[in-house]
Amino acid sequence: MVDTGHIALILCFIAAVYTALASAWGARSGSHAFTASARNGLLVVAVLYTLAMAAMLYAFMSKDFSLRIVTEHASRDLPAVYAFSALYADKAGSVLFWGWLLSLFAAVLALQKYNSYKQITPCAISILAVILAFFLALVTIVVNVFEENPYPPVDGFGLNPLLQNVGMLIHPPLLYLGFAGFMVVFAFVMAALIVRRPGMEWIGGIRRWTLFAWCVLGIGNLVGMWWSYIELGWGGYWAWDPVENAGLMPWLLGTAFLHSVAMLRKRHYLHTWGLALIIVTFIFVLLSPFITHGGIESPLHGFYASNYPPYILGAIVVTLVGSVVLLYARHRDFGKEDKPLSPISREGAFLLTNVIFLVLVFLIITGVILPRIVEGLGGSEIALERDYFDWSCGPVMLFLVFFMGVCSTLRWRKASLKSIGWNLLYTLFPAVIIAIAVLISGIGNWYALAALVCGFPLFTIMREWLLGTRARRRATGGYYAGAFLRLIGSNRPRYGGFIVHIGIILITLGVIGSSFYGLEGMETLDIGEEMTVGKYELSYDALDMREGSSKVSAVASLSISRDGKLIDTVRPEYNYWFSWMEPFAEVAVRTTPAEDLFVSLSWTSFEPGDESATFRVLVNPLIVWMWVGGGFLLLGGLVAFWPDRKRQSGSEAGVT
Amino acid sequence: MTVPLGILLGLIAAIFIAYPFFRSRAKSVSGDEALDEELEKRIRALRKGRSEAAEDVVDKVCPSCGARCDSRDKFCSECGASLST
Amino acid sequence: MKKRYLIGGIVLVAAVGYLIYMALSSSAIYYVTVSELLDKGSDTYDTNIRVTGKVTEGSIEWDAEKLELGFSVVEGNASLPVIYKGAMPDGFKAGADVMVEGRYHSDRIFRAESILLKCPSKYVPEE
Repeated sequence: MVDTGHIALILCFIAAVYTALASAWGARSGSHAFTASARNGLLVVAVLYTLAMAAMLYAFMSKDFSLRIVTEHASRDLPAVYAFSALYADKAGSVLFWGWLLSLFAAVLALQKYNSYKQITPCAISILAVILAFFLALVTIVVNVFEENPYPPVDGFGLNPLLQNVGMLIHPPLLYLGFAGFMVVFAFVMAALIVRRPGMEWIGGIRRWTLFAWCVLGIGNLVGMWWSYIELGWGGYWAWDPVENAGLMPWLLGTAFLHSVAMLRKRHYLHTWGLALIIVTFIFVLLSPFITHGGIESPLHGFYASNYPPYILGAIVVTLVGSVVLLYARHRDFGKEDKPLSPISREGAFLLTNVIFLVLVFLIITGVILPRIVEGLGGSEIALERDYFDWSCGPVMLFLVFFMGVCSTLRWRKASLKSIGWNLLYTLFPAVIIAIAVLISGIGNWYALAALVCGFPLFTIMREWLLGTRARRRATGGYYAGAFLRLIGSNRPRYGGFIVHIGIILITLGVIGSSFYGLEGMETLDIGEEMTVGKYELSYDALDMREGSSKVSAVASLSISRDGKLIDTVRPEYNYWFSWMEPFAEVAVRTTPAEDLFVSLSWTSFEPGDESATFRVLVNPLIVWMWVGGGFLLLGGLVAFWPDRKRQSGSEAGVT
Repeated sequence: MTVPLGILLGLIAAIFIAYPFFRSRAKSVSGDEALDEELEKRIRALRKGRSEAAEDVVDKVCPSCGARCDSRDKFCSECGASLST
Repeated sequence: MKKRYLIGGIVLVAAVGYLIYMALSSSAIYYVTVSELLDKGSDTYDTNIRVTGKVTEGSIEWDAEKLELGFSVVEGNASLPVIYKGAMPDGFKAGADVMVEGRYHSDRIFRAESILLKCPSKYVPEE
């Protein structure tokens, strides 16, 4: 089975190289036989790749320790569910997985668009095949993922307990799905540029791919934050670690691209800008493995670097030079662009949004690479603290959230000052009133800022919905709820976007609440003793020892009371893993809409008779709204993504 | 065992990939390609006409919310109300 | 029109520059190895520093009552005693690679405000 996988992977590499060449030739010469053959080649790549993946997963499930990768990341007692986690815990394994997703996407693109975009698709297939060949070279030639151990050991080293969590099971695949999706978008757009079809055509064909990649990447980042919150035990969710930034930056750029796609669909405006954005997004997608594989040192992750960074850096340079040259060579093809009538228009606002997104990415990448540059120039080694990111990116992000309110208020082409005035009266004015009320009531200055920054865009969305629903109902009658649903159905990209905006507003609330108003307490207690954090009193009732095959768990029970009334019991755990010879805390979180109570058992001696234990207790206000916001993100993405039967035939052919 | 299996896999893949070359030889007589070209030409012409028509867009005011919309739009891009009535 | 974009660009660049400058001046911290820190001695007292090294075998002392974690970080032959107020982070053990952040005082003890562990993506046996 393992050999079959290895052979399949090598054949897959050959097929990818052939596909790249045949498709390029087919696109150039217009030979139908060649393009059809290349399309089949891409399907072969996907099938063989899937076969290799199946072999690899089978090896993990059956704990085949003759394979190096299985020995290093799995053990006999590893639950079968975590076979996937174990696969992408390995550096080469994660590249294998990512490449597999890309091969599936490429096959879907080849089947879906083969007949609708006659010239673009063969060229896109060629580009995708080149990327796939690169990935396959990394996992077959540079590092052989199917490398065998000369002497198979009896048991493997096991998977890091921190990775044995649902969050880690789905976080990396979501990121890789998003990355692979953006690669498809990039290939398609570059193809349109190469075959000189830079008009509106590719937009219709690629909008939903972009949306999919963007949405999945966003959710993936949020799941990573959730994992970090639940599993790492420090009570936070974002540390501005280079690895986290590597996932955030492509998403921010993708967001900018998505907004410029909206602009391109509505108006012939700023083609070069949109194209440049997708190129930059692709480069940052490639930068992500460069960082995680040790290209840039990261304090928290990626401790064991792989030998991929030079190759990835090479790919980044080639992409950058190639696409910039191409863009320059083709920039005259775009023809006349619509000029915005006024900077005070939605085009103007979108452009500003785009610029701000770029500024944000610039600030983050500066923080990631500046210490390396200073070091390279012979300066002293410095590190940038979280403060740098908080204080440089934080204000920009808040401004972006606030600006969401402005964007949807303005009309296309030219907004009249009168309508802006009326809109602001109904949206900004109430937000200001609430902010002032919060300020006076003394709940907190940051909450007042939150009310202003979040309230304005929220009221704008509500107002747009209210007006739209009313107009719909007047036109068609029936219930308001029905009219609202029909309204959303009438322009799903727009209203799906609104739902996403609500998600972002909720996430902002969660970030503000938990960053500025968290409380922390830490104490060592004996059974029967109590500690107080904020309004909560926690009393330590019991400690249970449970011995399993892979770990010993100390489970503490604490009863929580508030104002003298018992409200709940929590059971944080402290697990000593035999294979790791070290303890890991498993936190207990009590979630309410207002705040989370986060209880971590951070130390106990495991000695009989000594039941004293150290607890770390955090109160994190509003944090649950971040995860709820994630739900809105997904919902909005789905609404915008869902195929539209009526209009699909039209828009897919580029007629809209 | 593995070598024959590899050869078999490679063969199947190669046949699948090479298949279009044999099929197209039989098909090229039918003149499909010429037809395709003709169709593409017409599509291009139509597109050109459409983008020229798009130049002289006249604004239309939405009856329900007062937003300015393109005369091409069937529904208001702001509130979603029908513009045809 | 051109002029307006130019002004917008200048404002933008100025704003970004200001943000970076403000954020940098408040948060750049020096990154030294244990031996560098010991060499510099009194120059580094009371400035915010990050030190990397390995936790020495048998040096970990945890005072559950005072919630104090004492250990020493070693790099080559140089060793630095560290005191940290707070819980032992997950995965903290002798031989672990850590990065401690805090201030070095004239009593030659490093008072850490945070401990970062390099989280291993795989387990590598001692060679």
